[in-house]
Formats: sequence, C-alpha cells, structure tokens
Amino acid sequence: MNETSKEIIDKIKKEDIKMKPKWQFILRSFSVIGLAIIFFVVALYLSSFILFSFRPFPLFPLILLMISIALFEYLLKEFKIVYRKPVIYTLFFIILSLFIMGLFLNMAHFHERMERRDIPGIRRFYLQPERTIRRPIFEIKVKRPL
Amino acid sequence: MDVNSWGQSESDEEIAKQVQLNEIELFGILINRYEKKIKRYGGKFLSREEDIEDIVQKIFIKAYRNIQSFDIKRKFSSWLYRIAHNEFVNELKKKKREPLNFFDPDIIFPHLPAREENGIHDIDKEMINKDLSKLPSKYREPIILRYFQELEYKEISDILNIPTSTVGIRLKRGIKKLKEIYERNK
Repeated sequence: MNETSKEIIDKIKKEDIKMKPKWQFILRSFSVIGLAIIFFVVALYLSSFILFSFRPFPLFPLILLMISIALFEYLLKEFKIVYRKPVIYTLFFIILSLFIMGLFLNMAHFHERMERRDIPGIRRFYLQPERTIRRPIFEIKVKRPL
Repeated sequence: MDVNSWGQSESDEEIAKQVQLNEIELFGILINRYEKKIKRYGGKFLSREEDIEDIVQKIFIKAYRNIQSFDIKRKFSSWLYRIAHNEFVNELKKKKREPLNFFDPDIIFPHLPAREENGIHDIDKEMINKDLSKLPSKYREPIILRYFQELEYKEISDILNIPTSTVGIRLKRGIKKLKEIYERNK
C-alpha cells in the first residue's frame, strides 16, 4: 500500500467514515422513477386534454405540458439508456408516445367523463368560456315575448 | 483479508464488491491503481499541486462513502472518473466562472459518428497540452479523457453524461480548434 492509500484508509478508520447504506441509493432511484412516472402521467393528461379541446387552443395546459416533458426528460437523464442518446431522439419518442396514448384516451372518452365528474381543481380546465360556447352541453332556449 | 495476497490480480469491480462487503483495507488497492491517473486528470483542471492532492483525497473518500451505489456490472473506472470529474469541475467553478449552456445543440441533435482522425497514440500531446487551457471546457474535458486518460467513447459518455456521438464530435472540433490556436501562435 502506498503513502496516499495508507493515509486515506487511516483517515477513514480514524474519523469513522461510514459507507452510505445501499437502501439510500435504492430509495433515491425509486424516487426518481416515481417522480418521472408522475410527470409522465401529468404530461399524458395534459396532452390528451389539448387534443380534446383543440379549438380554441389551450395555451395554459400547453405551457404546463412543456414543463412536465422537460422535467420528465431531466429525470430520465439519470439513466444510461437516455443520456447516451441525443436529446432530440428521446424528446421525439416522448412526444410521440404522449400523442398516441393521448389519442387512445380521447377515443375512450376520458375527458368527457372527467368533465361530467366535475372534480375540484381540474374543473377549471373544463370551464373555459370559449369551450362552453363551442361545445354546449345543453342549451336553454328563451322565448322572447311577442 | 490480506491485502498483499488478495486483490492484486482481481478486477476493479471484484475488489469494489469486496469493499461493499466492508473490506475497507481492499479499498487501498483501488486507491493505488487510480491515484496517479486521477492526479494527472486533476492536473488538467487545476494547476496547484496542493489543491490537486486535497481534492484527490476528497474524491477517494467520496467514492468510499458512495461505494454501495456502484453497480459491479459496470466499469469502476467510469464511476470513479465521474466522481472525480464533478469534484474538479466544482473546484474549477469556484475559481472561474464559465457560462452554463443548457441548450447545447451538440447534445440535442444527433451526429454522424465522427471519424477519429488521430489515434490516441498519433496525436501530438505536446501540442495539445500547450494550448489545452485555451479551449472551452466542453471541448477540453473529452480531449483530456480520450488522449491523456485513454478512455473509450462510451466511458467518456458515462463520465460526462453526454451522448456517445457528441463525444466524437467534440473531440473532432476540439482538436481542430487546438490546431488553429497552434498555427496562429507558431
């Protein structure tokens, strides 16, 4: 053992430097994967919503969608399979998956059901004035007095 | 376990596995194997010998503390260099500010595999060494890892967290820039 290694090993022993336990790293990996899944689900919800209410174009959900995709991509950068590829490939793959899955969700009338359920917090997405004009659920016809 | 009888012919990964099982003494073998290389690597970032010594010690202690995160199916050298790289870059950032580039087209867009015009041993290391500090870090780092540490593209990709094709393109552009600087100063 040379001088430096002896010095470092002595320091580890003397200062009682401990290895971080494996479970901390496993927990960290699971947290990253868990967060990535959450951002993907949010992105999927938003992308399917954008496809659902395409006109007028929902700008606010689009901004949220871009943030979710960026965070999802950032978290995936932890993994070799992602960082070894150019960002444009992974972004293309993410957007394509969101588009296809979003279409499927719309085919399954997911947003119509969400709209009817009237869930607090999500309600505001479905209550845009322009949308209610475009897609009235029912109309009240008022007869003008003659 | 006797350090003198065990571990000299074993791979880095096998030794790291034993260290994970609490064989602290065997960590010394890994330090022996990488100390000079990491110091040489640090020498390309920092100039003061004492700074390098301190950081190298910090790197090995950090590696020891985090050894349980090392996956023995991967290369120990890439894992250790990644820690070393982060430490040296952090130290360098304290000394001088370089602009952060979040939207680097080199990482975003794909590139055709860049043909290595100069093999590891063909390159004029004197020429590189002379003007290396004049290069931006994004070109300097892959050049150090390729031509001075003699690492493979995939290892460099793992250390710098950039696509493998980007490693090739940065090496090619970095060498081109160095040649231009060299020609200008001739």
